[in-house]
Amino acid sequence: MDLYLPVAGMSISLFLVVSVGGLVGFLSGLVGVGGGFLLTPILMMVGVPPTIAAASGACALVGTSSSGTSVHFRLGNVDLRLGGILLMGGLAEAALGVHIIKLLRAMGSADLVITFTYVVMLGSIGAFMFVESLQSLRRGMLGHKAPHPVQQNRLLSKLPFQMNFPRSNVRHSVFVPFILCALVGVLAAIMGVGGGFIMVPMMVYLLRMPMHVAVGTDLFQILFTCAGATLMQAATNQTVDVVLALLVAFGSTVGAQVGARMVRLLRGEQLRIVLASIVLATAVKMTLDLFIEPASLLSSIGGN
Amino acid sequence: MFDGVSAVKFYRECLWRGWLLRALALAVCFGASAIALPTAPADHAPAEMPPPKLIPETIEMGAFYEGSHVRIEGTAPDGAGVLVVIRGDRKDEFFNRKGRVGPIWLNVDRIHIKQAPSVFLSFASGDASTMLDRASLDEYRLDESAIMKRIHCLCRCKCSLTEGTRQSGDRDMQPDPEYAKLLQGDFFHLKEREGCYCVRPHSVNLTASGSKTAYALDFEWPRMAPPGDYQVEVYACRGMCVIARSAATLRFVEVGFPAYMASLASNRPWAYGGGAVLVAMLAGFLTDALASRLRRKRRPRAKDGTTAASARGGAPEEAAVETHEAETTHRD
Repeated sequence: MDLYLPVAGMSISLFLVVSVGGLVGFLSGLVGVGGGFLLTPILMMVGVPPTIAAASGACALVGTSSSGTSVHFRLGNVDLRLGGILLMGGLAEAALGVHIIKLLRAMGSADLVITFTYVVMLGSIGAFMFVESLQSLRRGMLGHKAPHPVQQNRLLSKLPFQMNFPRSNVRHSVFVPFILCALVGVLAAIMGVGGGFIMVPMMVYLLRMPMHVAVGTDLFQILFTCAGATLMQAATNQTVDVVLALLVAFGSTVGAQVGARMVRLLRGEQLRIVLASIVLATAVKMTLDLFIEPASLLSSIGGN
Repeated sequence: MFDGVSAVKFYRECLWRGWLLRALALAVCFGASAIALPTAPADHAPAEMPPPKLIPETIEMGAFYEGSHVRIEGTAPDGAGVLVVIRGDRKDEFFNRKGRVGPIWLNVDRIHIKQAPSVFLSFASGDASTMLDRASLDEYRLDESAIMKRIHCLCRCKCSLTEGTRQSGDRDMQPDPEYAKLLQGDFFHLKEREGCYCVRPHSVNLTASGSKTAYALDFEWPRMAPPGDYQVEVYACRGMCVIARSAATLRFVEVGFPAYMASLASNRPWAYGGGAVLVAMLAGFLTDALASRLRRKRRPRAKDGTTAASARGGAPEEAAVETHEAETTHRD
């Protein structure tokens, strides 16, 4: 059965869109990845124009992340205090990211920088997480005690305005999550994605947050980021297709429920391996895209 | 009163007036012929044919629109080949263009395509190049080559394919002729992939119908075509030139819920965006509420306070989840 998308101006299979949403939602609930870097390309693959795919994807992620946040909130996995600071950092990066991209474009090397940043970041984070998680799993299997995940970095503990984050069981300077989110936000702005797949590893390895709380807090932050992006895209570019977004959101909310349930059934190391595999697969695909001639040399300039 | 001199004068005046009248009549005739001549049928000017019959005349896109089959039929002069062309509105489009930089493919240019038709579908009863000469194909814009010549491109990167140089800028500029040709080809092929442009020879069926030739064309309407009015032009060709032509308008419109949503998105974008966010959030929270209600029904808490999982000897992690859920539910 097909449905007509009024803003995209095309018909699409109902089953196909809901399935796409379900897959992305499952990953979102499982590992806290917003799905932006998966959803937009998949929607483009099924024939949705890039501008519509990016904007409607953001709207769909509002549904996914609200469902995921709700589950994680009930399970006690959302650190509201830390999430609030991350949001403020996100607002700060918005302006900075735009200026950096302008500067890079003026230098004529924006696309080169963006692509290499993407590949290097994804590749290094993915590889590090994969190896580290595998080692943790092995240690667990051999009966060795894994190092305690909540260990304070000495350098970070010397910074001013230290604050307790009881939900995450960490103590940090307010500046650490603020600057971290701003930096991740700039990278995400350069790379044109939500940044969840960078944010979660950063929270786990740099802020020493438990994986489950990192996932829940990241979803909380994504909810607001995507809501803002949807509103701006609808107002400025008129590229949000609410029918497409709701279909994807329907699939993804169900998927997010299943994913969020699975979080408690898997160990932190196992979750990290899943996320690392997704990140590495994306890095490999991007690297291949760099060297293989595209089917069409022209691509429509979109809003995201 | 009427002497000889007067008679001569009168005669001369009549003569003069006669010449004047003749000159005036000649001028009128010349002027009339000058006006009439351009409207007189010339040898190569195509005649008018009966307009084609479109089935349907209007394609309506409701909420469950699954594409549409279109049939175009009519009659053409006996022995003529038929070309049917469907064109959409002209609009500007912007693209990034990838290029090879060393071993890798990167966006190297920003392309502005000016006033290209949103849809261009060309169907012919034979091969268009054997039905019409190049001048006619170009004049009526009937094939790929003719359309590509009319696609006007601007670029941000001055590329010279012959010299192999590339120079970037921040303003639109005219590309070199060879580069422009490359861009036109890229654009046409992109549109072909989307299904909005196509050139299909041998797709119009011809049958003899008395002293005329009946033509019929069946095709699927492109899914990516935007709503609007489309010009359907039919050309009857013989002896490498167009002998007759006709035209009709095919309407492609949104109706019902899609029409309402599309107008809301373009006329009240802030309300539309805010509504989209609210609906998406509500959908998320409602799904979660529904799912947790279902879970609670499935896992009733045991009388002694143990969870169903621990009572049935389930995994400790599962029991922990349920205990945690029960606690949070109790807290709520």
